[in-house]
Amino acid sequence: MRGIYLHIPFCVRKCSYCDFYSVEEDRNAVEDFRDLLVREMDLLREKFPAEADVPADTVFFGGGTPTVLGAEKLCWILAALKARFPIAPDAEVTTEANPGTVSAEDFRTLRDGGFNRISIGVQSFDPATLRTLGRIHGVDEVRAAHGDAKRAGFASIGIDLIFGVPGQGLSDWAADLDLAVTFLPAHVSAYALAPEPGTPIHDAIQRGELRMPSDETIADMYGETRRALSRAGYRHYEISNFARPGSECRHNLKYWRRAGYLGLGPSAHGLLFPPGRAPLGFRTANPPSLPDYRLRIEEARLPWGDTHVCNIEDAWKESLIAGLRMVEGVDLAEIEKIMGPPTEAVRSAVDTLVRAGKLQGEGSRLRIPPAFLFVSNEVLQALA
Amino acid sequence: MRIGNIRNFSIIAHIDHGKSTLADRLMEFTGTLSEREKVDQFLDKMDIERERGITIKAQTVRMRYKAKDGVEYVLNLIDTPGHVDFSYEVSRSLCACEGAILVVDASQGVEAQTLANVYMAMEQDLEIVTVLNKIDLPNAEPDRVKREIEELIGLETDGIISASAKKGIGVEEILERVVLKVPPPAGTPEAAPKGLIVDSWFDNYQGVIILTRVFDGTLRPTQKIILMSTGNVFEIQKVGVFCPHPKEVDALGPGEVGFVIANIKDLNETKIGDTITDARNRATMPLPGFKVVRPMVFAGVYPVVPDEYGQLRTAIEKLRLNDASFTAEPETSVALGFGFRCGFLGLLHMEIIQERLEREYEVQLITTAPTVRYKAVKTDGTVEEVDSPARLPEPLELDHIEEPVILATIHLPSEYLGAVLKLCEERRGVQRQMKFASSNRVLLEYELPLNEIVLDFYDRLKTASRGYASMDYEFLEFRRSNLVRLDILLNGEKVDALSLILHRDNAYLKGKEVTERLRKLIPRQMFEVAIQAAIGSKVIARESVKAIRKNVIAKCYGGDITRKRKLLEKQKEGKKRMKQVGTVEIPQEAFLSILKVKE
Repeated sequence: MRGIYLHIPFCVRKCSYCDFYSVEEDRNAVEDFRDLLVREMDLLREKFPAEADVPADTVFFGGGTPTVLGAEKLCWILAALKARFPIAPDAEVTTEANPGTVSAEDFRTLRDGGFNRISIGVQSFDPATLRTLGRIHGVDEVRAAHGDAKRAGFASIGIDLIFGVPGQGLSDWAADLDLAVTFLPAHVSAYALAPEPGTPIHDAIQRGELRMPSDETIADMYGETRRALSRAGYRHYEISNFARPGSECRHNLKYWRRAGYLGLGPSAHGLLFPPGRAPLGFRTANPPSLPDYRLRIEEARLPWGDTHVCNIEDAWKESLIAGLRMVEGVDLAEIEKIMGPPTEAVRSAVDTLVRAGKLQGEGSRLRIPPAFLFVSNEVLQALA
Repeated sequence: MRIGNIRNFSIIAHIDHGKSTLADRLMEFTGTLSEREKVDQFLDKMDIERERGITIKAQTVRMRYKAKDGVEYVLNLIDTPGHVDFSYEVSRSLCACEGAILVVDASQGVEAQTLANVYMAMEQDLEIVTVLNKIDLPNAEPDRVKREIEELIGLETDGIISASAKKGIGVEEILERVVLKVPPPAGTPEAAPKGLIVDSWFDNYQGVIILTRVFDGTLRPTQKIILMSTGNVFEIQKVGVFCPHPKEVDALGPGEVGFVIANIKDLNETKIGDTITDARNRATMPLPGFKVVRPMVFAGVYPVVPDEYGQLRTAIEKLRLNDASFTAEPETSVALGFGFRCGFLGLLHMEIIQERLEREYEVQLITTAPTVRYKAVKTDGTVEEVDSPARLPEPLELDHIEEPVILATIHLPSEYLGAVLKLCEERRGVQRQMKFASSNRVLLEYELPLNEIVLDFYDRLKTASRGYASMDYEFLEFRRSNLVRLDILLNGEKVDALSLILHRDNAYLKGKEVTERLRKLIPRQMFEVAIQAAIGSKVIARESVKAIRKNVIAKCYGGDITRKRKLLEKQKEGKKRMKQVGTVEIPQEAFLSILKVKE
């Protein structure tokens, strides 16, 4: 079964580190956005009815800040989605939520409307770090959001944290972790900050106004993350993701396992497997611009900008690059069953890595030794 | 052709002082080059020559010039290579001339390369026509430069020609002066033929083409000739001249310069400086000055990608057709795999060959640190010639090592004497002679181990003397010396391609320098890398490259995968020029960097 991703490209204010596509909220744009999304769904149904009928068991609303639309609109969109696509009754349905944009009542509405998982963008509890990141909330809003979600009946709540932020020290990060686990979230994502060109934080670093912690410090923070979260009962399952057993994000696992997903909304990507036409994968990429997206929908065209039919090499390389991000690694026999045998280049790259001790093989399973996860590019680049 | 109307000359100039431009102007003025053929720097045919502003192969041009005295002269311009690596080739080119135009940049003054060649020309009694070039430049200082010419070279500057090759000023005056001052060649048509091989090269269609200067007798098609150093006989098929395009003629008589094609397939037959004579009418003595040119510097040449070995072999074979002074034998390295041990005349020659292999044949190379050829005397009394540190016999079998020693002759202005003496001392030099050639010019003779000079001595000499010192050297003898092999170990494994032979006194310092340099060059990798320098089993220096701590894509979800894969591909691309040795990835520069002298 596949996943469905919906991108909601609005924010109250853009954070200094974010390079996802979003625009600061604009009432008119927000108003008609849901109609665009629904028209995209209808276009897909019309043009590729077989593809539209592939069942899904995860739905993920990301952004941007989906909750900027308001809980009711989100529920309306979810209902529209369910009306048009087969979605399993026990599907995982997540929305991202930023503290300070969601009230207790909103959470209740979301829960009643069919959402069952919340991912809260906390990032940090430290006021200085939050300021550097350009976040609009404080610790109290986080506490409130988490409590409200819980009381609304969400069993699966995840929080996102960021480390390696300019000005942040190892002890600051350790304090963030300690505080995070006191909320008892089911899921924690902890990302090392990667200042992307074009973001304000990147520019400030370039200008010398902010200084990144050293790679040593950031690596120490990562080590601290693994220790603190495993102590608190979380299982490390992907480079940056930790969960209580059974609370892994099923939607995100699809990306790493190279399962199919439909991408709706501006900048959303999809990976489809239309039988016969692209058995190894067909990639779609909606334009990362609301006006471009709107234009296409209004012209009654699917907004899939660059599409790409994956060949055997793409399929294997992507399976390994994404799959080896998971602590459990990949099962080569499983991949081979789906895609056929790997190309010679892939096979010899894997052999070389295993011989050098950079990959651990056990039967048909292959994984990056956990100690190397934070230098995994050194391994994965040989497979790119 | 009347021998009295021939003038053979070359142009001596420092890089960028305008030699090629002047040659172009002379060809234009005499109508040798038509308007549409004008390509800047016609003489420098190879890309590398043009880019580096140096001439590697000798070239000649025959020009007809009707002088003011009403007589038509044949002027042969013989262009010479210009670098210390090629000093023998230069001497043979000069030997083919009776005169030389000395070009000095009026804004730059006299420079070392000029000096070395001018001295060589003077030793061979060539008539010198001095030209002050670029006089049109605003920063030209003709008076200062004239003084330099008098003081540094010892040439009179009365009647010096002021010129601007670029603007065509003084060109006619130069031609007139050549006609007037350069003596015509001597030689008799009836004598047994003697032709000097000035250069030779391989042409895919015609085989070897010999560039020759005839001293006596005549060379013509169907004639049977002997190359005197080998005694091999060939039959001439064609003779001709370059004007500047090749043009067949009936014969080449005494004093003439041109080409000979004689169905020769192997460039090794035609050694520069050898004498061509008639097989039935043999000259009794060859022309003087012939030497067999031997490679002085050796290095391992390996493909970066092991699969490209076949390509490299083909490339080397093809290049050797064109350059017999470069040698290559197959060699295997534990670290680098299959490759070749190549011999070169000097470092510049090595760089040129390397560049041509990479550029013309598109093979990516790793070149190991150059070394000289040693004699390893074993305990059983046998002697092995060793041109690769890896092949030095084991310490137990080795009695001692002998190293090649050369005699260097250095000319320099006295104000740089201190710095140059210091350099020679540092390089284990033994002074043989020091004399003042004039009030401010010194001539030094030093015995120096060849391995101390092949790398960067020439560059250092120029730095120490602001470019004014010139140097020439000849092989003297093999001499016993306290030499050791310095091995480099990475994570405990010896990397044979990084070993080097050096004097024991320098070993500790060098070991420290090399390990430090490698620490900076070897990028951090997944495992810590221990770098050790050792003599035998004794470690004399160590460094380590700490393991990399962070290289990760923290966030990777659906849409990102294609983009993230591109990022990884880019990282991979960056590592392409790295060589995997055991578990360690070594950048190519590492193999050459170990011999760099401290920055």
